[in-house]
Amino acid sequence: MKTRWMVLFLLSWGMNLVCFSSLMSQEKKEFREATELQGTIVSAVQQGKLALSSGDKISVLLEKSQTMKIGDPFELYQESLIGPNASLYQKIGEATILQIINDRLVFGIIDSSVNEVAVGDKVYLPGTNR
Amino acid sequence: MKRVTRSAKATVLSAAFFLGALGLGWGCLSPAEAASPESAFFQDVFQKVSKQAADLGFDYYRRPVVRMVIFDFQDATGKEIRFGRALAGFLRLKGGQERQFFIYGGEDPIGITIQSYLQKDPQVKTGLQRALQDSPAFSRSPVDILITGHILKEEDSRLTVRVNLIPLFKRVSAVEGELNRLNHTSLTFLSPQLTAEEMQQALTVLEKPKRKLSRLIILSHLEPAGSKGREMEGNFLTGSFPEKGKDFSQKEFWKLHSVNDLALWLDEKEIKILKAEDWEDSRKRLYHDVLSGFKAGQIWFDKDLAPGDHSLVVSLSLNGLYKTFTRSFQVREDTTYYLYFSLTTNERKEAALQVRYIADASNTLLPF
Repeated sequence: MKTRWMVLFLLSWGMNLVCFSSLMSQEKKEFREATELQGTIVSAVQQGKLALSSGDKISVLLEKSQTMKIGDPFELYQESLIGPNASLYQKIGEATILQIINDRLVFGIIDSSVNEVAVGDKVYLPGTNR
Repeated sequence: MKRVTRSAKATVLSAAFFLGALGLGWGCLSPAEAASPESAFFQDVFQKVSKQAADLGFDYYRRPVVRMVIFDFQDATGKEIRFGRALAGFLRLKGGQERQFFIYGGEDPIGITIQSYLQKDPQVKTGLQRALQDSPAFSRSPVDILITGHILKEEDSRLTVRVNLIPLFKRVSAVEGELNRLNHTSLTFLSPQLTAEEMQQALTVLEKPKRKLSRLIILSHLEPAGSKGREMEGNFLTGSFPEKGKDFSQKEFWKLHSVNDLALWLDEKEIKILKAEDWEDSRKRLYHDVLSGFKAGQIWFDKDLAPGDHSLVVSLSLNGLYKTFTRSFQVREDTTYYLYFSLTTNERKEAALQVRYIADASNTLLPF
């Protein structure tokens, strides 16, 4: 009898844990799989600039058309050097959409970065339809 | 005894299970799913309206956060309907979650100020927009975009939703106002077909819930001693003689010797000044607005009051002599009252009580 109630109790807390952790992990992640990332930095707006950081403007090409608007934040990812998984990307900064050219090409500005951002780095748009 | 313990354990564990299940329900339900059954349509409206608002108002350097007021959408006759409130509520909820938007709450004085302007000119045209931008409430809580909406019933069991985005961040020049070149944007949406029952529900006119109690706020204007160059003596208060034409070359003052020299009773209960440090956080903003609007200095009372007759008694002790003033007033159901008093003088240069009494039947806060 006691065991049955204990199982029920653990089950209920387990369900809670699963739900809340799934909610928490939806947006804020330091590492992402390559398949999760939605676009690539294709150029810097300022010609000839190679190492980009906060305040620099970039153009981003998305793999698929996305629903987005000016002012939406997006995250910048670089291939991770740690871990055995080669397709793992590490978050290196955040940016904001400044201009939407079409549903795949946008201009953005880097808000913050912990590493040099470069052409070829990947982007992730939280909260968009994937 | 053993049975009782077992039953108690079972109750506790079943409660834990219930809470767990509740957590499951809340945790896994997205706001869109929780908001309403028309969420797909609502989501579409939100995406287009928020995109338009961002295009219109967002500026990374000058306006990284677009401040917005979204009013409940109305029907063709200007009444609030269930569908309009649900849709506007959804836009407020989702808009508040976006980084580039700030949505003012329904109780914010700026919303009430704008509403009072909208009653005069629903399209916010011409000089009214300029007057709104000049109002003190606007300078305290600037609004970049105002969103209003109307809902019309179509013949094929659909609803047309017309959303107006009115940019307020840019000052409108007199010429632009006169020529009606006001850069207002409108978006129109057609809802999915609704059943007769859904349509009836959607178009239900919402009545404001009536409260039995009324709210009374008592304010006064008593200048702290020392504010006119006199020696500051603790919490002492002075009243001022107003200027009486040319015979009075300057203001005269009389001084209360202690805070106890001025006493107030509302009905049988003595009331005291509500000290600023004791104000509830949620009411601080309101109190600052009301005090500045009335040009008052103190708040004495802010509570619900039963409808009926009430009386305010003010007792003054001046140079050892007591003077008492009584004012009776009637409170009706579901109304907010502001009672403002100040001390002044009569023709015989005796202290007198001046009372202003404002009733606000709509129960919206005054648009300061």
